[in-house]
Amino acid sequence: MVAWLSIFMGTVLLLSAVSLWWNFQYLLHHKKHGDSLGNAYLMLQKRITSAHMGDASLSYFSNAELEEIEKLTTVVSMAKVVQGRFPAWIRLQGKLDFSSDVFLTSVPDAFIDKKPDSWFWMQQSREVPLILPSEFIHLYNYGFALSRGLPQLSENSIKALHFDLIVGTPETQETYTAVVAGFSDRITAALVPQSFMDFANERYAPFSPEQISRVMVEVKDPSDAAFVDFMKAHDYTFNEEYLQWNKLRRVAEIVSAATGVLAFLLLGVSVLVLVLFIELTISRSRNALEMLLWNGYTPSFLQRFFLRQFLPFALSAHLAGTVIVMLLQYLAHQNAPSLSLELPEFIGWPVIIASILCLAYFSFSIYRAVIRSVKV
Amino acid sequence: MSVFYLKTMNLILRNLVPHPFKDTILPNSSDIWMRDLFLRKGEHILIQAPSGTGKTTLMHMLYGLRKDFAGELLWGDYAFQDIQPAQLASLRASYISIVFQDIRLFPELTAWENIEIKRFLTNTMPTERVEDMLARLSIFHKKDSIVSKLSQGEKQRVAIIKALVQPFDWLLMDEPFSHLDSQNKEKAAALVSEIVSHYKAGILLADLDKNQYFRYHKILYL
Repeated sequence: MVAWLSIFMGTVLLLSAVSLWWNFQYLLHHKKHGDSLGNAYLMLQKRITSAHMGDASLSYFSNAELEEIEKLTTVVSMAKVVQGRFPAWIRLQGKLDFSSDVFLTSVPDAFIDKKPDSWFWMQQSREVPLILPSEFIHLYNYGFALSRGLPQLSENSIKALHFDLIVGTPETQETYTAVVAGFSDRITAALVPQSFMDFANERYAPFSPEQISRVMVEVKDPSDAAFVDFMKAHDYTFNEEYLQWNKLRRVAEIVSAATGVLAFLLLGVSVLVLVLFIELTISRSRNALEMLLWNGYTPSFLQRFFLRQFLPFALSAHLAGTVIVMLLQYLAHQNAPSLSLELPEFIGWPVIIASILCLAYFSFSIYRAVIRSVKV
Repeated sequence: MSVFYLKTMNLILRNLVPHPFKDTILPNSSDIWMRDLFLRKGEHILIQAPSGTGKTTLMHMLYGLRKDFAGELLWGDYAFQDIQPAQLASLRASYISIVFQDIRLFPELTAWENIEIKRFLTNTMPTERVEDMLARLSIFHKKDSIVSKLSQGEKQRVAIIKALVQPFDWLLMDEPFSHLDSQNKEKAAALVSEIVSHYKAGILLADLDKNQYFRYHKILYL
């Protein structure tokens, strides 16, 4: 009974640890949640100092600087933030008199947190989708609208509006229809699709070279000491709120890893108990075993006999442990929404692989113990 | 079950000396120790030996229970010193059978179960035949009795039947009738002779004194 329980507990703990780690990875990397727990996306730029005021070129990244950033170990990917090199402004179509200069920006689609379905632009199309910063609505609703007596607007009502987007110098000026396709919590700029930006820069600012003053980087851990030191050394700035959150994430990762280590230790103990149990059982049957060998039974026949006894024993404990972990996963799936999280209903493949490996380890330990104990 | 096949199950002993006896055995003092012997399958050999001269040691050496000896011991082409566990098991299941002096049955099992353990290995003897053997040795009524409850004589008869329910080329017997009265000795010897003849097997019987249980081709003094 002790041996059965130890295998059962060892299995439950090990698979729970793997399951914990896997659920954590799921939360970190599952795209559906806007990566709220995943890799951090940072907008990097050079700190503006008095020196920059007289020389805008100091704000631009050189190719060497960009390569240096990309080589940092915590940086997963990097994208240039392409800015419109042409004048642009928008004007609300209809009776409402609203117009504003805009500064258009584009980033690769992979860096957009909530990419709308309509996020594409094809040449010759006169309609251009826009993504605005979520903060923009707050500024408008709680700033402009209230102070100037303008109507407050919901996200959906803004999406229903159509704007004239006027781009280019007076000589090349053209008007497109702009529609707000979505809002971004990550990027604080008015975004247009990359294809439109490339086209517009080529068409309306053909003689203005591309210069990069901001880059977006996807980083595993913005609180990584080497990364922070690099940022400080080069006087680059980014949203440092990420630092605090990522410390919490590190703690969660350490807890997950520590649980795994504990589980491995317990698994080791459970295998030890199992092996001792097998050896004790076989040792108790030593006389009978010797008699059977004298009678002409082969060691392999007797080994198979013991394997048939012990393997189902270990298998039942292991399966019971696996079922418990599956139930725990189901319960986690049921209760996760109350924490505004979503977890899968079924255990993940790493848990299944761990379960198979665990079973293989038990089987191998049993096999070795039996072979070692049943000798001529 | 059989993992090898032996064409000629002759027994060859070359200069055999058990380690515990190496200081006490003198050259030419024994017909077996420190001698070269060739025993042909089918021969009936009586090994006569006073107590303490290594009778049981010899039987255990011949059955592969101990390897603490110098010299060579070959069953057919197989030297016992080098034999593999599976080959030894096969030899015991199909080529050599034994009646131990100390009987060696499972005390917690019945007489029938003890015999079945042996019969199961080769399944060459029908159960009716085994029941007939039990009847011939007057222990059929003890068939389902736990061995530990049997008398020594009954146990010895169970052990003899157990040795006979497998095919063999040689039957080793170490004082096989020591707990039997003269009537049961005759019955047991007759049964053994019958089965040995059936298999055209050899007999190696070790005992303290001369006896007439079988027609011996050789008598060797240990």
